[in-house]
Amino acid sequence: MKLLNQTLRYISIATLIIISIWAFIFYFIILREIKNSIDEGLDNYKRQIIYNFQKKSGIETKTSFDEGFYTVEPISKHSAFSIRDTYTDTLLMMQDADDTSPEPEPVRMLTTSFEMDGSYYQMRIINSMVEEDDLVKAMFWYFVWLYLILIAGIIFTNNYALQRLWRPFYRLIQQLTNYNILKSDSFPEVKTRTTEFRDLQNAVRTLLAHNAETFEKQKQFISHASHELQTPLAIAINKLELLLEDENLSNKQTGHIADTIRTIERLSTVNKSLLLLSKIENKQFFDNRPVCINDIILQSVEEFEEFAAYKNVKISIVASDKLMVVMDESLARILVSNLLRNAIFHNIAGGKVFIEIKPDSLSFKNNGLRQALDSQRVFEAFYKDAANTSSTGLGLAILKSVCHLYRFNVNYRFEEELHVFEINF
Amino acid sequence: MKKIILFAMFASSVSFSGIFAQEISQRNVPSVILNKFQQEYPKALDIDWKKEADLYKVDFEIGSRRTDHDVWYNNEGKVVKHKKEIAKRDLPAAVLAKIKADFSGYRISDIKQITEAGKSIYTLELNKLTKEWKMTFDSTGNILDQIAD
Repeated sequence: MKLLNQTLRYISIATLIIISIWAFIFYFIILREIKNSIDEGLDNYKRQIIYNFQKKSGIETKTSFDEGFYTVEPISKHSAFSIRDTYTDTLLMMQDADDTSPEPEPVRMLTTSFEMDGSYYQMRIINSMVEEDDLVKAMFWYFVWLYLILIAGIIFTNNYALQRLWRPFYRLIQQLTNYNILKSDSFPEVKTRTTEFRDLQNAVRTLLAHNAETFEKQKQFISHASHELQTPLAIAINKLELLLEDENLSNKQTGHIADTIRTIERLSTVNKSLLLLSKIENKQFFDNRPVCINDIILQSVEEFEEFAAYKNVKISIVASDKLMVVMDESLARILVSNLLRNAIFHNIAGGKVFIEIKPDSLSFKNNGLRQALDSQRVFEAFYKDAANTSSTGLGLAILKSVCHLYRFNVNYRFEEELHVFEINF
Repeated sequence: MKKIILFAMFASSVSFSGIFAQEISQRNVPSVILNKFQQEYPKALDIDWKKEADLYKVDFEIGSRRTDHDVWYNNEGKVVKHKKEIAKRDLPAAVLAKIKADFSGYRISDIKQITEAGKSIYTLELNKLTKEWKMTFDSTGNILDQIAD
């Protein structure tokens, strides 16, 4: 649930409670005001009626409200003095304009008594009252409307004001989601005057800057380490080769030394690959120009001819069109040779390699293990068949790295007993 | 302890004065008396009712000059006493003459006419520098009471 909606939920509940309580109080206030006002009116009627009686000096007894709004009847002096002006709510059969037949209507009634010419009279005066259930009904709907309007107002405010206020936050989140330490050149940045969001942005930027720095240092370390290893390895191989030329060595010793040289050579290959990988990631090859992949493939196939013959693998090329890609030429060579080496290296005796060149894609299909590889991990560095010790496990990682650099899409699938590597340019 | 005694004294003084004059709401005034009052003084303002023993006393003001009136009704609804503020020129000539003769140079203030059982008496204050008298006259100019204030 979004923060905005959560606020809205709390506000609407609070508003509902406040309005309900207020409606309840308001009802009684209004009712009291109405009664006060009616009572004042009744008091004025009373004064007027008595005044008129005194002017006419004659009183007609009236015992029912049939033709007027008051009754007057003589009473004893004793009961006259026991009466205080009282206002009461009562019901009276009346026929309103909107009624078809007389029905009990609420009225406010003033009971009083007065003296005239030595006689005492009781008088009752009525005034119609607002019907309480009508009042409740009307007020209920007024408050329902008030509530709805308030909620609509709050939703409006939420959508237009709060959403505006929170916009920098969502922008920042979005930028953070899209942030990639390899690809992104700049840190997430939003323009805002809100202190909290500024703080958040600063915290995020500090964190990212720190990460980027660490990442950069790590890359440099790998690059330096591989570079520094290269020379001692070459020297070691060199010295061992000199040692091999010594005629005093026994056959067994020669064999051991040859094995050591091969091991060190493999170490050197791994090291070179790591160096290459780090160079690619550091964009040290970035001399981009249109490159014809077809030519590079032909050259590469020629280079690997001997190796393929040795492994007894047949290579066939199907080129439907000329494939031109804008990229660094040496990287294109690395790309193709890694694919080809991979296809031959992991092939079976008498197996085949099919190279398919299309205007916007390149695919290598080869025989090999009769089961699919883990497509999620096949491009990871050092992911390799445990039984195969002579592979560096870096070839496909380099491939992935090159594709990543140029945002090419590379994928692996196992199709009709063939391992398929496809690059979409 | 002192506090309690003080409080008790205060409470008793309140209740004593309560016996003589108790503020009551208009709702508790018998309708006969209320209607009589309302007919006699339809323009009365600032009405306060008090009950003094068997009498109902109403204190009110009339007119734009807010002349103060006190009217006492007995429990039969008859006016037994009426006290009202009056102007100097409304004093009976006999009273004015008496003041002129005996209290020359005095300033007259706070004049009230008190009518009871058909007879009126007049109370007023006389001031001259530091001298101050509270006087009561009858309508023929006789001094009924004279108190130094």
